[in-house]
Amino acid sequence: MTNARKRGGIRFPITRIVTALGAVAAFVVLWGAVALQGTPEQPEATLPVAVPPAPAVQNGPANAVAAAPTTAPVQRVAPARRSRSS
Amino acid sequence: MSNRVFWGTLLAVEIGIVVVGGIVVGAGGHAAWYASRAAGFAAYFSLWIALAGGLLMSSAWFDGIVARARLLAIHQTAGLVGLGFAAGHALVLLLDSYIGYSVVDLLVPFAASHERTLTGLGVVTLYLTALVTLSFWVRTAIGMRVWRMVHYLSVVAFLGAAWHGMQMGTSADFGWGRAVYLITTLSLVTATVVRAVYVRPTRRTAKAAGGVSAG
Repeated sequence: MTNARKRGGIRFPITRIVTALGAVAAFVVLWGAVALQGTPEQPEATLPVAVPPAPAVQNGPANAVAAAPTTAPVQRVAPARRSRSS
Repeated sequence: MSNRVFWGTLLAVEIGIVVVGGIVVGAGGHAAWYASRAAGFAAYFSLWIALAGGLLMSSAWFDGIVARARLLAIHQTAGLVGLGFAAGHALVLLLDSYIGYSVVDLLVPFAASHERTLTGLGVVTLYLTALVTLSFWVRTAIGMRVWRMVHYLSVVAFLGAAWHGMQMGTSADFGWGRAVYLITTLSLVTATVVRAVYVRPTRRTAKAAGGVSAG
C-alpha cells in the first residue's frame, strides 16, 4: 500500500489535476470555437417564395429580361432546429 | 487533501465554471447558449477519455506503456469531469431563453416539448453517467458483481451521448464536429475489440505450456 493510500489521500494527484485542467482548457477552447462559428444556416428552413417583379424600365430589351418574375429563398425559423447566426 | 474533498471540489468547480461562465461572459447575448454547447462537447470528450482509459486499463495491450494505476486516475477524473460538464450543460440551458427549458424539462426524461426524444435521451444519459461515475465510491457496499454490471452501462451512456450530440448538437452540423464524433466512436470500437481479443503473449505461452503438461 502506498503512502498516499495509507494516509487516505489520493493517488496520482498531478495526473488528476492535469486531466481536469485539460478538460477545462478544452471547454474554453470549444466555447471560443462555437462563439466564433455561430450556428449554421438550416437548409430546411428556406422555402422559395415568389417575389413581385421589379418596376419595368422602358430602356431596352436587357432591362425587360431583368424585370421577369423570379423566386428567392426567404429565411424562416424552423421549429425543431435553431438558427442564431446573425 | 482527502479523497471526498478532492472529488467534491472537482465536481463543483466543473459545474460552476459552466454556469458562472454562462452568466458572466457576454457573447452577443448568446453566452448561455455557447456555454451549453461547449460544455456538452467537453462532457462528451471527457466521457470518451474516461471510457477509453477504462478499456485500455483493463486491456493487457497497453501494459508497459502507461501504468494501470495512472490510467485509473485518468479514467476516474475524466468520468467525474464529464459528469460535471454534463450537469453544467443542462443547468446553463435554464439561463437561455431561446428554447425556454424548465427545471422539469431538464430533470424528467422525455418531459420537454422541444425535441422530446433527443432531449430525453440526453437526460437519461446524464443519469446513467452519474450512476456509473458515482458507483465507484459505493463499490464495496453494492458488491463487485453489481458494480461491474453498472459499469457496463457506461457504454450505453456513451452511445446515448454520441447520438444526442450528433442528432441535436449544433456542432454536428460542421465538418469538425462530425469528424470528432466519427473519430471518437471508431477509436472506442477499436479499443473494445482490442480489449476483447488481445491476450498477453506471456500468458498465452504459460497457458499453452500448462495445457501440454496437463495432457
